[in-house]
Amino acid sequence: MRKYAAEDERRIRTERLARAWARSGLLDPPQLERMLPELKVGLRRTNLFLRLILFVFGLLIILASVAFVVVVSELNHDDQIAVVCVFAAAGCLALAEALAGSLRLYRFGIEEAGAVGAIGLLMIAAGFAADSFTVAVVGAVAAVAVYLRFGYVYAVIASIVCLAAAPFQIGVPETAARALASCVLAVIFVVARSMKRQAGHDFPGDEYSAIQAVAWAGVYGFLNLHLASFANSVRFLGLGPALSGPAPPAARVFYWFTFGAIWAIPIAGIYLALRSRDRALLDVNLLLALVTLATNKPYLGAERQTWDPILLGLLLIGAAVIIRRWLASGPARERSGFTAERILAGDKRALEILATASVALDSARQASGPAPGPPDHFQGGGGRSGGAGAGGEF
Amino acid sequence: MTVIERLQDWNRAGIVTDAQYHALSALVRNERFSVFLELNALLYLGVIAVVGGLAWTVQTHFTSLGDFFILTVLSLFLAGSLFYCFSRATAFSVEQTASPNFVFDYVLYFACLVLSVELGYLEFNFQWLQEAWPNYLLFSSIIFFILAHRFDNRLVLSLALSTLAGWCGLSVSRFGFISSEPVRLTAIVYGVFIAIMGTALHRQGLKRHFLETYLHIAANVVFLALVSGMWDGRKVFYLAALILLASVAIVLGVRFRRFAFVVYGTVFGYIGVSIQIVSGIHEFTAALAYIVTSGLCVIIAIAVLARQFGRDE
Repeated sequence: MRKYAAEDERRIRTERLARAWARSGLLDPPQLERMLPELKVGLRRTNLFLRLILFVFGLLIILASVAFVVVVSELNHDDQIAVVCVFAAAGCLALAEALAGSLRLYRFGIEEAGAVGAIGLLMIAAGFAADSFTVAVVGAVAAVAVYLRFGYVYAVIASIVCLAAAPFQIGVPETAARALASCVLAVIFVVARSMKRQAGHDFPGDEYSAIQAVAWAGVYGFLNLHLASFANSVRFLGLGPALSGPAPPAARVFYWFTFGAIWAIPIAGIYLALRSRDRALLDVNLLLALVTLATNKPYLGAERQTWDPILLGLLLIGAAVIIRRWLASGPARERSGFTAERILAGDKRALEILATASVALDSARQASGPAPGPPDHFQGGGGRSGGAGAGGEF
Repeated sequence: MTVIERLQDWNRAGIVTDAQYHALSALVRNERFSVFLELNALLYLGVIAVVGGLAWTVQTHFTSLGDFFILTVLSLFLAGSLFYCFSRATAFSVEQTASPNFVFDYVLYFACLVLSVELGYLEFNFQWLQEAWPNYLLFSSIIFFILAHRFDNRLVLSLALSTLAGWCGLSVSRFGFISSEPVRLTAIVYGVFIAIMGTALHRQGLKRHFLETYLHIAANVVFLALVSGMWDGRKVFYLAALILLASVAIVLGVRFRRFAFVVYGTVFGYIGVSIQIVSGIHEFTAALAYIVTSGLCVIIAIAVLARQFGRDE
């Protein structure tokens, strides 16, 4: 079923690990040189940046080509456009197959554009020929098919999103749709987790790890009724209804059930992640825990105070410092294998990227003006200095 | 063959030592698991939240809290943080230096953010600089630049660059220009200035590893400014500058294996040229044909490049 041999996938991952170990000083360059010949695969790859350009321009060409055919052929009926899109999707898939097959491209961008373009075109075709429920189902099926064939994890994530959006298209009440979507995602989580346990940390365990983390986050996302940003993103895709904030009185039981769930999910998730030492699941649940802390007051109907962020910040800083000290005080500066020390050079690089990217956050704060709060004479917070307000409105 | 099996093979073949085998297999099996990144993320978010809350509290309750209390608290935070940094810092070095401890970088970042809040409050209340108040931003950015280089802190460097950008933008916009032309030119001057500054510091051997931060920000600012000029009356000038800069970014990006700059040059260059060409095409089909043809050209060029450089990052 898979286009690429499992052995090739394992070699690619092992090569990536070996290079990371060498960059981190865990291997000497001569050792790496002796390892690399064993890890060679007959696949053409490129770096992330060139891959990104090839992907974006590939997708642009596909969409422009289909639009060109539709406009030149003067197709006005929905069914005709749907047929063109289906044929174009088949062409895109054939292109992706050929590029990955005869040219042996692997994560090269252009063959990914073909596969992803096929998913998009099939969804557009469904949109012209049928209702929004069909669009979601077609998108889910097409995306999972692309994942099974090419192994693109983002495709299966797109499939999960489509599948979770489907219950909102069948006309059931919002609470039922949320519950249904959460159940679907919970099933995906259980399946992915069980497959991950079988596969271990090797390929394809890393893929299942990402899938279970996304499904887990999705369960939380649909159960947190105050997660407006998540609802907006679903609406942005045109796949979901406008989700309201607090539940109506008729759904009070569901409302308080979800309140319990938004606390239980991150706690259980962190426990599961630590037990199985699963980084993707751990990071997702840390994020969910933050969201729970941020949405706790709206859930309870309590008024937000200006010092809430200070308390949250102190909690985060305190937690980080205490955990770090506790780990560092253990034998060999670790406890049960957990350490606060940096092991791989990639972690340092990630922090450098975060630091450089923080300029965007600072600029966004400048653009959005002062920190949230009732309008007042003084608007120094948040300010234009990029930090917190030397250039506020006076 | 799994990673562990391969490690066993390498160990038997003598490529890796027993100690390396045990260390690496522990990493592969996640028996040794680092939470370094997660703890750093918590610290960063914590500092942002605390300063955001401080600013919000000052903004909302400044009348009830009073100047003395607010300034005392902010000054204590600032002085305490700076004292901590100066007392714990290692000796200055022009080379890259490691932080003395886990929280050090974030304490310095906190100090800089608190300084911003305090300066904002001072100007709001006392208006010492009156019309020249944006100069607080210039003052802040200079302080941040000095601290960033003294303590080798990339977070503070980013803050300095964004604060300087804020000063440039404000200094121009407060003159009440209706056109966006002065802001655009200011952005270009700002981008060129920080690119030159970063390059000059690199050549002087002062924190050479900061160069990429300077160049990434400069490239994005200048490219955005030039692309926005495509709707301006002097678009030929902007187009020429954009093509020149895009070419330089691609050539130097390839030469120094910094492929993010190849992305900047390709994407921004394509957008600018396409705006110019498509605005002269009045038929939709011709515009679509242009996108297909030009897109193919880009793909062929990048594919050739990609084959040449393989997995180089």
